[in-house]
Amino acid sequence: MTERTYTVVCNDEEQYALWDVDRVAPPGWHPVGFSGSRSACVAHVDRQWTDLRPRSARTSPDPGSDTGSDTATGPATGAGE
Amino acid sequence: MSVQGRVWAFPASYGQERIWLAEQSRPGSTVFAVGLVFPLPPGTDEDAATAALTAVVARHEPLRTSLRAVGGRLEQLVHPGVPVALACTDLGQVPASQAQALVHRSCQEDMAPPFDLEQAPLWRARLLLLGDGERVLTLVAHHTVCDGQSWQVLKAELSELCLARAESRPPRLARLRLQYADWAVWQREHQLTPAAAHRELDHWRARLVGLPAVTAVPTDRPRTPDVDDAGGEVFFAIPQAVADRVTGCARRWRVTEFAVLFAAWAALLARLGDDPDVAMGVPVSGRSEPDLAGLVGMFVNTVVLRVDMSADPSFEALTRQAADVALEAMEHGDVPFQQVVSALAQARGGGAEGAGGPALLPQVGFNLLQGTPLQRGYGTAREDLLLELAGRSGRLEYRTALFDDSTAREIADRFLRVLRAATLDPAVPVSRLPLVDASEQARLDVLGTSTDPDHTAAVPAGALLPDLVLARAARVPDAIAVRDGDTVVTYRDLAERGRRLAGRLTAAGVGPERLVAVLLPRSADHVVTVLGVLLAGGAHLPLDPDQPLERLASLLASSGAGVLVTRDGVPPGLAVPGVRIIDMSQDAGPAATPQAGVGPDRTPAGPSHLAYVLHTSGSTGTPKGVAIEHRSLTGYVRWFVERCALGPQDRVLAVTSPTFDACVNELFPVLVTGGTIVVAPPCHAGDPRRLADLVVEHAITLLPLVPSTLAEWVASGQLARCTSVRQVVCGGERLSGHLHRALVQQLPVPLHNIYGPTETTVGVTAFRALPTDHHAAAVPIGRPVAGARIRLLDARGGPVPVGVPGQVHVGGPPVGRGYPRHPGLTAERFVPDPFGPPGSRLYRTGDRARWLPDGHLEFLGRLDEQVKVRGVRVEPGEVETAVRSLRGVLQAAVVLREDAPGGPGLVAYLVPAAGTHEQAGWRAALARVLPRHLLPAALVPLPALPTTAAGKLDRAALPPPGEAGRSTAGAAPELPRTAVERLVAEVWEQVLGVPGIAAHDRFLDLGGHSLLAVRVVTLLSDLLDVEVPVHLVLADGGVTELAGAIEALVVADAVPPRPDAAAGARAARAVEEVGQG
Repeated sequence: MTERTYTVVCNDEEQYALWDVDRVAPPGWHPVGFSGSRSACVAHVDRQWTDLRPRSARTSPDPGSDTGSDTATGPATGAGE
Repeated sequence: MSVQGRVWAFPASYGQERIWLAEQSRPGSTVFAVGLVFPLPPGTDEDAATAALTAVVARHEPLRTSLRAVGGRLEQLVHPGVPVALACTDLGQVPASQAQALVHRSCQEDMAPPFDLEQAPLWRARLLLLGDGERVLTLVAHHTVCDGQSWQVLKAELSELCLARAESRPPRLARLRLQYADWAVWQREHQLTPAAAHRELDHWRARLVGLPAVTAVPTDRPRTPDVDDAGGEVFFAIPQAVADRVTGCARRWRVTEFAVLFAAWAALLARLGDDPDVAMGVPVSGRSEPDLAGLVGMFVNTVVLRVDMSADPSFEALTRQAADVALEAMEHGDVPFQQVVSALAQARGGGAEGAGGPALLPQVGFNLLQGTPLQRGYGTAREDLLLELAGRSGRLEYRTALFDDSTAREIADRFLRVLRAATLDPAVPVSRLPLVDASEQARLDVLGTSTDPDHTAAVPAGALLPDLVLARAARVPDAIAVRDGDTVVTYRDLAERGRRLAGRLTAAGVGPERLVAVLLPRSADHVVTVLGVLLAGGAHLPLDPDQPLERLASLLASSGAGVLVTRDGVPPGLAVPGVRIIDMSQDAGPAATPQAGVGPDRTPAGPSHLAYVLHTSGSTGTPKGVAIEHRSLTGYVRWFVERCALGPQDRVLAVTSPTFDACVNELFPVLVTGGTIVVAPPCHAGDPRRLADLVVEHAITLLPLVPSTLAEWVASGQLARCTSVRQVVCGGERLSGHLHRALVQQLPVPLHNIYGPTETTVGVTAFRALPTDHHAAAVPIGRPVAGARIRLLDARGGPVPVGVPGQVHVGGPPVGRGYPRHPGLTAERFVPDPFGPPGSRLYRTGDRARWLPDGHLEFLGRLDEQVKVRGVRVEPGEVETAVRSLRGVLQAAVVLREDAPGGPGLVAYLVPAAGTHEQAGWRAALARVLPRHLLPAALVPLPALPTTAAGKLDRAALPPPGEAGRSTAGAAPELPRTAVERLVAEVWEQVLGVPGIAAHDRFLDLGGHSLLAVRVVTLLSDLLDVEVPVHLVLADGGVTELAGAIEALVVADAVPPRPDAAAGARAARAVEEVGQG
């Protein structure tokens, strides 16, 4: 079976997805300019897409759900308040 | 009329033998009767017609032939004369418009009585007098003595004979230099020398290796062993423009029109069955010598044309491949089809014939008629699907046991659609040929759209779940929200404690998009915590306290959660660097803080903010977090409330671990309507009796279950006590109709079967199963709900037609955000939605399903669990259903195992009722309902089926099937006991050359086939002085079953004792004297 070629596309909410390189991307999606095998595209998105929150859901800088806690830390055990 | 003379015996031809053998396993079938209709010159009278008929009967020996099986071989007996009876029917009064239909009906009636193949003549003739002097002679003949081309011969000769008589001249008929029987002898002795036959069969063996045992085209009904030959047909016409293009393509590519049409049919079959390997039976005339052209007789042979589309060729490339394959098949087309079948069966290791006699494989056919018009069928079908074309007329014949007329009509329509598109743009790859037209696409759009009111459309602020719960609490503060053992939490308590916790969380930095890990068991605490987390605007991340500490630490660290809620401190050994701990045990309690309004009274989160993150392991094993937003969750909960008509009087039993999204069903819907959650303590999990105690004690009205758990409840008999339950919610696994029926026998209430992956918020389709329902296989998963859009797509992303399996894709508000730590995977699984609003996404579920004709979805299993056994895709669920319905079987699971006896195959694991040891009976019972290729290689009894923490079947924990052996799993083979059984076993040993036959060994499994069955029958009939029909030996039972059937014959005296046979006809050319009259 021949391996298929994909292209990476992006929408207005800055969400990424893979699409068949032979097909026109549906409305609201535009190619970002990277194409390749499935695994190559997945790896590309892993590098590029850092904030999975849709743009309209972002009211503040990334709260760190991807990069770890940014809140003041208390003691590791015991009371917190 | 009697004629003196000799009866000559000759060997039957291979073709005759094949038909005769096939008939032995279908006693009483009329599928091999052929109806021939001959127009005679107008005004022909009865005498003239009779004279003409007599003349052709005298000319052509097959019209004076009968058949006889002798010593394991088939002979044809040519009689010197046969009675020439011409029935006569006057249809003169019938209007011309109805004449054709009546002629057809007359043939059909003449076909109805089966032929006794030992009695010549093997035809029935009738003269029909129509209006205006029109005359028609119908000849209903058995296929062993004539074929399609014989019609042309007889038509010409009958016409000539009648004309000659009318013109008072001698008829001009060619001299026949040989007769059919001569050809039959020549065929065996010269056309195929053993060396040539060997070479040809080698070619076919190589060509057809790996041929699937059954065709992959989806049928309307399962293929059980009792599928018969009843047939239907649909007619259609190829538009002139399309036909012209077919001719154009053939000319341009220098191939035959046969190749073009064949390629279109093959492409359609490949797409419908989702299998690029397609093989079909195509008839060839078999009259390779010029002298054969003018003979009446059975010459037709079948060749198998097999094409492979796995490289996704263009239509043009496929046509060229078809042309090559056809040419090659013709070059090797002399070897009788039956020998090819036997060679393949041997290559497979015997037993491939099945109870239907020599497998008329493949079960799909194609016939391009040249020079003869299409004929209407007579209510029979020799194949599952046969496409016949003659000029621009088309006919699709199908087995009514498998297909509905509407499905056949759709297949014919799709053939035209494929042909039209393929000839218009032959560069299109097969995978892109359109199966669905605009109107069907519109229908699929409607099917795929939820008709429930869309609660997700605009979820206004202040209407997210935590707000709704607080609003309810304000209205019914004294109602009980949660019961957990002795703990009782009123709505007032719930609101106060939730708000207080939310205050603590807010102070700890929790807000929209902040994850809060919750390490609590199923409990009242947990309910309060979820409310508090959501009220603070945070997203709930449940952790299972039963998990190993290392895994918890890893999940916690990778999630990036900044806060952890637990009770009584963090478990020792759990490392939580940088995480703030909120300890529930330090909650001061309702009385301690008199300040009202502590904590937020509205969540700061908005509809597009995260509501929860759950981890799934999926089929790869590594857990990934799935992020779900508020709007999806709210929409689902509001749908669920409406679907179950929940109200303040409802009490739900919470049995699901908080780490599974099914927990949502037990939590929010009840809280927004003012009912009560009754928490089942984790220690009661898996104990139907204790859980039922809770149901009774607290008068539970809504019971959530997973099918594996449901099976345990059913087996325990506890459901009957649960009289307060008014509905059951089920999901997570395929629910068999059998299990559903068992449920409603104890608890006759509606069941909501909900389907949905975690990635799309709990559930996206649902089916309301009523206690009166009867589902043969599985309970459907119903219709899209909660605003979901469902699309079934093929591998190229194109929609599949109704009835054809496709991958489930989900669009709309229930689609989650993705996998927070796996952007690449998210991009791969959440793809652009070409059918939805701009920028929207579809989630590829990895599940297979198909639309049923009534618009419900049928779940077929995971894509990656698709099982192929001997090249045939099988649905283990179908086999599971059959195994579950065996007497004494409580539960069953069927999986494909590499270590099954005899190589990779299906293994059935089952839980027998106490005291049941029915293993041999089980095999026989399964053989009665399942086709051969679905019979499990082993049946493994277990005390219980292993389940995962989620309550679903744990496949990895199933034990290896072990040495199941020839007959039963584990036990030593049982030997024949009764006198008749021993006799049968002895005869089998003698004929098959296999020693040590056990009581449950089957004839076909031991290498037997139809001709050997005849030998067995001869021996048994001699020894027992009773006529044993051949089909009993070929049936799927073992020695014991055959012995039982024979004894039944003797007792019932159903068959008269064997007449004194003519023992003399042994040699190839025996001669009998036939005396007077």
